[in-house]
Amino acid sequence: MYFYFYDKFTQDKQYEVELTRIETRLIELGINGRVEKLSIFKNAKELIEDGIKKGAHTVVAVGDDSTFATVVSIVAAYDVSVGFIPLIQESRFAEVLGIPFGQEAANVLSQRLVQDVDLGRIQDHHFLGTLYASEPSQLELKCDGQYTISTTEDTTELRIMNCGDIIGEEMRLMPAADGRIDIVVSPVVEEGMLRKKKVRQNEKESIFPVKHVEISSGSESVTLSADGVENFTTPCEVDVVPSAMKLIVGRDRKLRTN
Amino acid sequence: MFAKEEGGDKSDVHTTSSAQTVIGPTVKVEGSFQSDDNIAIDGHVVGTIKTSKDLTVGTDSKIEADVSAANMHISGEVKGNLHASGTITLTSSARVYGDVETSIISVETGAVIQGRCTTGAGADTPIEMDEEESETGKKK
Repeated sequence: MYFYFYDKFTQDKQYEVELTRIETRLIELGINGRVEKLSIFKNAKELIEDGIKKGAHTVVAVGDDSTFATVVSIVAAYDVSVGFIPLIQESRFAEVLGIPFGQEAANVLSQRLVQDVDLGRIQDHHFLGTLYASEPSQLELKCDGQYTISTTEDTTELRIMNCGDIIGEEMRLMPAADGRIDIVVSPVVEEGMLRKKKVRQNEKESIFPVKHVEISSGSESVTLSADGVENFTTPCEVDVVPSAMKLIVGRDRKLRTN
Repeated sequence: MFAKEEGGDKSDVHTTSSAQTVIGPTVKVEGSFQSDDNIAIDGHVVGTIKTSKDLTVGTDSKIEADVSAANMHISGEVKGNLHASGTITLTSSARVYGDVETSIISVETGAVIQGRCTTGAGADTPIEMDEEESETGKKK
């Protein structure tokens, strides 16, 4: 059974026509299923878990990048596939997965091209893209129980990437099924009198592929954001869960496997 | 190292080689650093470094560690023993304070070596990644 999880914003009138088109196309393709719509009275986790308990083999997020990231995190604990129908044109996750906007996404779903991907994990939360900490103070990262990385500049950006920084300013992709997460430490440099510029992908950047990392930040806690949907604070542990999820992808996907 | 994808992308997409560990100038690494990737160092490392692939040490880097790799290209400072199963290349800015053991060595004018240097047959033992101690050890 297909389970379609509609985000709260999809109930806005502007999406009505597109949703009708999508639902019609799903029926034509024979992949329609149970629909649950998020509302202020309903909890996403309960809705999705209830759908899985009632026999859903595929959970489809209908909404935007935040909807998809939320579904990924909830579904990670179960052996079901995840699909995505983007209701916004500029969805970054849709671009990476090779899924077109609106009703065209139904065709990709029906083709059922499935790719196994790793997921990053912080506490009980799973993420597909990146764990991001903006300008944390002095950080210490203990990697795979073997060595410690400490930052030597006060203003440093830390990203822990699974399949990449998808929702950041510049999309950047890493291998999604290599059994490792990549710690990327970038300094932030001054630009002009007051502005700061984030330095990415240059000779000052550090990259460490690891399986497990413990992050601490001295007396000052640092906040980390997982794909922009949930925040965590240091100290914390992050690891990779290899082949944790089956994603339905399109032929034009940018997702990297190696 | 970074390649921009071709084609009419909606947004700029960058990809990074998976088989590369980069230690930049703004981080310090301490401990037993083992890897199956190529390693590029431009920062500060203290402890031991082992890789079954290649190691590049940049001009401003500072290493206080015994180092084992398949091949090494060194332009910075290393305080510790070097062991390569293939080739060690020391550029003019390289400063090595320790023993060097390798199959083949290439030394540019101006490079500094303070230690014993063993090359050729017998020095080409493969890098054993599972061992705790460096293959070379202190011999002086």
